[in-house]
Amino acid sequence: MHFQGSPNMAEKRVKLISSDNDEFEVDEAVAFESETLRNMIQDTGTNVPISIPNVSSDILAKVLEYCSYHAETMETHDDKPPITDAQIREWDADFVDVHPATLYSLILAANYLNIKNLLDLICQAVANNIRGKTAVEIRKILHIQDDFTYEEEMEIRRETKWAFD
Amino acid sequence: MEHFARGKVKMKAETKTRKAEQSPWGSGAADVLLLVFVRLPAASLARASAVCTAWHNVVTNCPFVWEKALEEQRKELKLKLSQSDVKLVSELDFRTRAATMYQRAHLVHGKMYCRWWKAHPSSCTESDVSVGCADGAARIFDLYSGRCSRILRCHSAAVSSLCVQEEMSVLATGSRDGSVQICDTSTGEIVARLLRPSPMREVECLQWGRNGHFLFAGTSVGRLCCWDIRKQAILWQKEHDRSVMKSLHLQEYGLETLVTGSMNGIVRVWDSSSGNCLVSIRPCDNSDTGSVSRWSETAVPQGGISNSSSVMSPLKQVPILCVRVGSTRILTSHTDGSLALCQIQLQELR
Repeated sequence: MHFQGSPNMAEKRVKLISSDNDEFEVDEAVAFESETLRNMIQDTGTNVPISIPNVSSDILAKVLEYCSYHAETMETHDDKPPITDAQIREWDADFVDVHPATLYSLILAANYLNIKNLLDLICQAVANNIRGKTAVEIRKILHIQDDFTYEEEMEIRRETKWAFD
Repeated sequence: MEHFARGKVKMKAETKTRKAEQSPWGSGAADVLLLVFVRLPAASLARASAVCTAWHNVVTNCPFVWEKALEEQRKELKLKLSQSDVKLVSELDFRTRAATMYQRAHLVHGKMYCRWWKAHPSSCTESDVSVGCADGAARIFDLYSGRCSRILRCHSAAVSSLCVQEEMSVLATGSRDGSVQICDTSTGEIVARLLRPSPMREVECLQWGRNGHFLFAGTSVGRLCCWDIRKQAILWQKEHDRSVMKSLHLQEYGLETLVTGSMNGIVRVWDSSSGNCLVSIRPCDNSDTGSVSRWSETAVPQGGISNSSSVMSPLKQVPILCVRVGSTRILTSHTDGSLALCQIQLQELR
């Protein structure tokens, strides 16, 4: 993503306030990774801090970590070699290697902030994680309680029999 | 990334979330779950629906995820099904199509791993209350009292096979003289006498198809025959060899795929609507059509499992008495009392 090649835009800083009132300051280019923030900034400018009431500090930090890395990969430096796709993939893989509860919050945040790449990344990671696993394994991976009654369990076994047979 | 240092310092350790034992996934919002579910192939989606109530509700209440799942599955199996040999009936819902495709891809294109067990020499029998008798009658027994509750006199020769269709409470019986009849199990009346195909000999096995609209029969000359019950006419009949067809089976979820077992030890997979033979497999034989199999394990009844690779003796032509099919495996029982389980895996794509 290039921002019409205007160098002064990249120097603008944006202040973001999380749900627990922590303040984050990032480059505008970083904030622009989020479609929601981009619209807000275009409406209100960069002078006013933007509050994000439904994203907590630790999740927002994670999201911004992603945004700043990916904003960085877009920049071209003459002195540094460009970041390769393989490096990005490796970084992304490390990024999603967190507790499932964090992943869930990240999906909510990415959805709200409208960061398509991040949303795709996490959802695909979760999907890959549970693909081909049995129900018991999925429960273990995502720390889910089995809340079926015996009758429900039997009924579901019958209807999903083909996938286990 | 210096500008970001501040945010990083503030980031609290993940232990905070980890302390909360109950993960949000179990009570996840439908829209978040859907974002993940649309990325799953059908078999994984079916498994996901068995995880917990919230997941099950999302999968059941959003039928469109099955459409996506079918697409995902097609992508996953793309190399296997390039020649579109799965001609799936388009009126079926996506879930059924996915199940059929999953089974078909495994049975037709998979790699086979066989396990054998030595069992006692007896044939597999359905623990059914209907019994076909040598005097040409079918006797229905009440399991609780153990008494014969009804005698259906339908054939002049011995009844060699029968199959119950529970929904319509009808019983199909096949006889040594090649006749096939359908009786109402509650009234005992004969509903239909099916036209016998010309070189039809003894009917060895019977199986109902979709909704009781179709009936399949295997005969002693290796002929497989399908009737359309509504028209009481033969839809198709095929034969590949003249070996006695001892058993046939299909699953409720995979009504498009029929599997037969013959006395020459060959398992065949058929398309139940066209009657085309899709693949022939001989359990534990490397020579067959593209399906590579190997002898992986031998189990003996008395003492554990012996993994002796030296027992590579190719058990050719062990007659099959009974065959049962799942979506990724085929189980056969044989006249020598052995039992073979063929686990079918799709090879790595690429």
